[in-house]
Amino acid sequence: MTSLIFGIAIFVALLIIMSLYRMVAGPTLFDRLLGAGLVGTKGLILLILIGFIYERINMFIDLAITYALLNFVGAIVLGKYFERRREMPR
Amino acid sequence: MTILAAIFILSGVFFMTVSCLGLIRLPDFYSRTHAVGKSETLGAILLLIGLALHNGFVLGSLKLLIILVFVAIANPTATHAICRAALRSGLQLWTRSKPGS
Amino acid sequence: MREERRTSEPQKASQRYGYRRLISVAFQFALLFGIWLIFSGRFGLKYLVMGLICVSLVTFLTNDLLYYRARPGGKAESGVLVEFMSWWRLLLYVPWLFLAIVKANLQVAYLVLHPRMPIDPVFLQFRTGLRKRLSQVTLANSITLTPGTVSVNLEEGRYTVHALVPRSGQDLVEGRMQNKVAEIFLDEQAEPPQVRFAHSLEELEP
Repeated sequence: MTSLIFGIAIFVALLIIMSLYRMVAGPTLFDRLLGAGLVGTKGLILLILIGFIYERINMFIDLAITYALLNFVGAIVLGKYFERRREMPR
Repeated sequence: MTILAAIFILSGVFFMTVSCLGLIRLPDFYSRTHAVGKSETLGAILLLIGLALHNGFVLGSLKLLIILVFVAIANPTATHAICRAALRSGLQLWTRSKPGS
Repeated sequence: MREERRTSEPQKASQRYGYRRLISVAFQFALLFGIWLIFSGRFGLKYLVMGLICVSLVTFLTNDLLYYRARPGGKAESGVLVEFMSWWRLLLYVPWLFLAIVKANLQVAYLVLHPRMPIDPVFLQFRTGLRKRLSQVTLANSITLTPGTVSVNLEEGRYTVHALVPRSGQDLVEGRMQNKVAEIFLDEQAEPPQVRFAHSLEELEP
């Protein structure tokens, strides 16, 4: 089971790199925001997996909770902020 | 129990992969929100259920379930907020057929 | 209700704040204290007292925001928390919703992994007959989570929905989902809505 979790952690890290592609190349700003949200959720999962690997799960779960809250608030605030602009942001 | 946890984790990873591929392959912003709002949510839910099963019945699993509920509520909401911002600022959508037909 | 509170300030607290207010305070207190217990994970006397102080402070500061929601006309209506307390009805809704989520994800997986991606995105727009805010929000949420559709905008009961394939709007055209939500939240049953299909932003109603 430990090796399975290790492999999945590496795979999730690769998925994060794939989402980073959309953040860098996205034609509009909203695509970048979507990519950022995806990186946030996957980063949360990756934190918990790292906690299992190092067997310090209790500390890493608290970190993951903070990360989830920040991710949500960031997405909402940025969405609200760019809603006010009339021209299309890049 | 271990096998059940492994099944949940692997299916969660599958849906996360789908959401990532969708984010890269789909043609425009509004279609990509489908990949993010749905597949990512279910993938995270399944992965967190699997990890909670693997962790056993301790307080940490309860915290994992709270993260699960939070992600299940927050992820579609955040996607909807970004989507609404895009509509308000006039982002055009991609269509296969010609406009008006 | 807010008008009354302003004019009759010297009344007793028990008269000003009704029975429902007390229930909402107790509900919020219990919820926050439960979350405190789970997150702290320690049950010594010091931690419990600290938690009680923090939770009381937060309840005292935020219950007013959650209980009332002022309207532009000066009339106050019940806020998030009161409506949240009727969310136990949502439990009836969860099994159906979870099935719909799994179906939606399988459809998205099929569309994304298909080599040619057989998608034909379209905007749908319609007005709902649902009256309660909670049921309107629940309908928007279930539109997002069911196959092929994402709700983009909701204003005064008018929805804008993005669909990957036009036939996945069939549930909405027949008003099936709307009736499901109305049944669960005891809202009024309405006619199936008039759905407009739009292929560009210019075809949408302003």
